Order: sequence, then C-alpha cells, then structure tokens
Amino acid sequence: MTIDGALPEELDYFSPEFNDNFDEIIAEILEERPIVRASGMWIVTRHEDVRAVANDWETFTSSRGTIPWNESGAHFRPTAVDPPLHPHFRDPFAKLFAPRAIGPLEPFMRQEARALVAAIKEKRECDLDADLSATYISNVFFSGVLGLPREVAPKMLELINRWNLPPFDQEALAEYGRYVDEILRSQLEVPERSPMIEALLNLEVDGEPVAWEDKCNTLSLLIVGGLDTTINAINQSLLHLATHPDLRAELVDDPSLIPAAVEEFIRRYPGVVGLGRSATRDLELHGQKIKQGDRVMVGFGTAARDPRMFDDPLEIDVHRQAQGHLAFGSGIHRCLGSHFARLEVRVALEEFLAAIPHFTLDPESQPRITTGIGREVHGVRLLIGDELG
Amino acid sequence: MQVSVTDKCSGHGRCYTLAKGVYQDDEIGYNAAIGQTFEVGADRADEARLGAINCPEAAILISE
Repeated sequence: MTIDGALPEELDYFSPEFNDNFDEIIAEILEERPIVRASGMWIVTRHEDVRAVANDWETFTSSRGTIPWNESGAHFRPTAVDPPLHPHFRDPFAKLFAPRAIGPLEPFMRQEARALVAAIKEKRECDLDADLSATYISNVFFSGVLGLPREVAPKMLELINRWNLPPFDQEALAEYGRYVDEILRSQLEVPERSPMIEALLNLEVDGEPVAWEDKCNTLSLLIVGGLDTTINAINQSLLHLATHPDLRAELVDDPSLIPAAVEEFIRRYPGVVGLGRSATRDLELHGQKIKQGDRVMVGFGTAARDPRMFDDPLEIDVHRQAQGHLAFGSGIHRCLGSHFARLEVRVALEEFLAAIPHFTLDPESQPRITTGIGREVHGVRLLIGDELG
Repeated sequence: MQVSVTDKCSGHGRCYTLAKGVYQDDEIGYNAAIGQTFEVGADRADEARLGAINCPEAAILISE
C-alpha cells in the first residue's frame, strides 16, 4: 500500500502502513473509490452512500454485530439489533440523552473540568489522559450520568482499549462482558440508582422483561459508547490546538467559536472510522458485487472527510457554513449520546482555554495514534506556560 | 419561503442548535415539526437555510 502508487485491489486495514498514512489513503480512496475492499470487508466511503446504506437496515443488517471485520462478539444493544426489536432497546434512553435532559448537567461538568484544569495549570504540564480527559469523562459520564462507581472506570477503559484497538484481544472482549455483568449485578443492591440504570433494568419487549444478558449487552454499549470516544475527542482537540497556535489564539479571543470548533474536531478526528453491517442479499454497488453475508463497514468517519461535502476536508475551519457530518452515524442507530458528547467536549475546551491560553506539545511526548473501529490518540503530554506561545 | 421537515430526521439536532428561531426540539431531541411544512418570513430565511444545510441527513427541504 503506497500513497504515491495506485491503490491496491484490497487494502490491509490492520497494517502499520494504513495506520501511518491514514489521512492520505482515505483522501485517495474518497477521490477514486466509493467502495473499497479492505481486510475481507467492504468499506463504503462517501457521505451520500454512507447515508443510504445506514438507512437501509433491511439490506444492511446490524443484527450480526457491528465490529466491521467479523461477526464475532460485541453484539451490543441497541446498536446490533434492527427493528422491530430496536426501539425497545433505544427509546427508553432517548429522553435521557436529549438536549433538554442533559443541558442541566452543564454546571456539574464545568465544575469537574474547572478543578482538573486548575490542577494542570498549577503543575505547568499535563498528561492528557490521566490529568484531564479520562478522569473528566469518568467523573461526568461514568459516575455522573450512569451512576456507576468511579473506581470501576479505569478497568473498564483498560478492557475496552484491549479489544477495541489493535491487536483486538478477544479474551478482553469476553472479560469486558463478564465485568459489565458483575457491575450491573452489584447495582441491584444499590438503593438509589441513576435514571440510566433504572431504565436499563426496566427494559421490556411487548410487556415482557428482557433477558439479563441483553441488559448487560445494553450496558456494554452505554459504557463503550460514552467512555473512550469522548476521551479521544478531547485528546484530539487539545493535541490539534497545541500544534495550531493561530486557531488556539482565535478560540481564546472569541470563545463563541468553540462550539463550531468542537463540531470540526469531531468531523476531522472521528471517534469511529466505521461500523459493521452484513448484507442480507446479493447486490451491486458502484459496479462491485456484494454477496449475501458479506461484511460492510459503513464509513461514518470517512464520509466526514468527503470532499464532495466539505472543501479542504482535513482543515479545521471554524467558519465553515455547512458542517453537517455523519461522524455520529446516520439513521436509526445515530449515536444516542451525541448531544452529551458535544457538551462534554465543549465544556472541557472552554474551561481549558479560559485558564490555559498558552500550551505546546511536550517535545519529549510521543502521541500514539492507532486505528481500530475508531482512530484514537493517547500519550499526549502538554507543556503549559505564557512563554510557550 | 416554505420549509418542510421530513421523516429523515434522526435527531442530530443541528437545525435547532444553529437556527433556534426557526426550528425547535422535541423531548427526544428530534425536530419538533417532522412531517410538517411551514412558512418562514424573509427575516428568518437565512436562519432557516443555515439549519437546512447543516442537517447531516438532508432532512429539511426548502422551497423559495
């Protein structure tokens, strides 16, 4: 796989070359191929096609799992079920994640972010995961919204990173499932549960309580959907701002641009490259023959860089008029936590930039970017100080 | 200007976030006017367009 030569017939999604040249290869694919073969799956790449595939759940079913490259495991709910079952698992949470329900949580989030940022300012350096993103998201989402014990979050994160990122440890996925089961079981003894856990324990289909296993599969999704994704979004945003002082100065001078910046960061650095579907019949798409049972990755993250939708797609442009990206998915499985995620990231950036207008990437720091279902950055260290530009 | 909110809405919430004067949310965060067509005056036309072009699902149709 080279970025100068022609694209090969089939890409190796798991190769270091793909990871290291991700931006260039995706740009080339978007230019040349609406659908591409990669590591045994198809990737649908462009905005229009991604939307069409995501909205045709009868042809592209989620019910065989949403890990793109195989059907093994992670059959989480409601993401890995189609109608008519789907709304039974999604609707009870829809009100809880709606903007009018989560808006009132902003002061609590701000207080959490402000305390962490003050400590970072004092220290004049920070490890983004430990000092800000992972701690903040664990406090506001895992503990604050799900109402689960704060001390459980690090192990959840560790397990998620082991199965969600290369080398995709299947044993960690099984262990994650067992740990979620254990944590949900312990919630049965808790006198006052969060509205989220209460909704989960009360899930019903046609008046019948759902199986325990399916409650666990639903909690598995809530946790994986809300933990690592937003941690990554904060890491990506602050890494970008550490290395783009002009944009940082613009946001510091005019914080009203931060919501547009958040939208751009999520579009440019999507937490999910794509999610999996299985074709339920033979069909043809852009001249490619897709067979019944083939795995298809719906490229939500690639669509967010489609040059047909966004001029200069790799630029973070806070003045872009049309920002309507599919980084949060499309159709019935659109990320239920998207409004909450935007709020978490916006508040973190607002508090960080208000207290710490000057920072750079620690030259000793070696951020690690890995491509799995998402494309994540960890290991970012920042230096803080007015003299740092 | 006539604005139609179609059932392609899947609750991204960009319309009512960016164009509060034209679009409202319902209790699950979808556009509150799915399936409806309504008239928007010239004073709100730019706002209506901004909401429409930011819809990731192209769920809002505008005819002038």
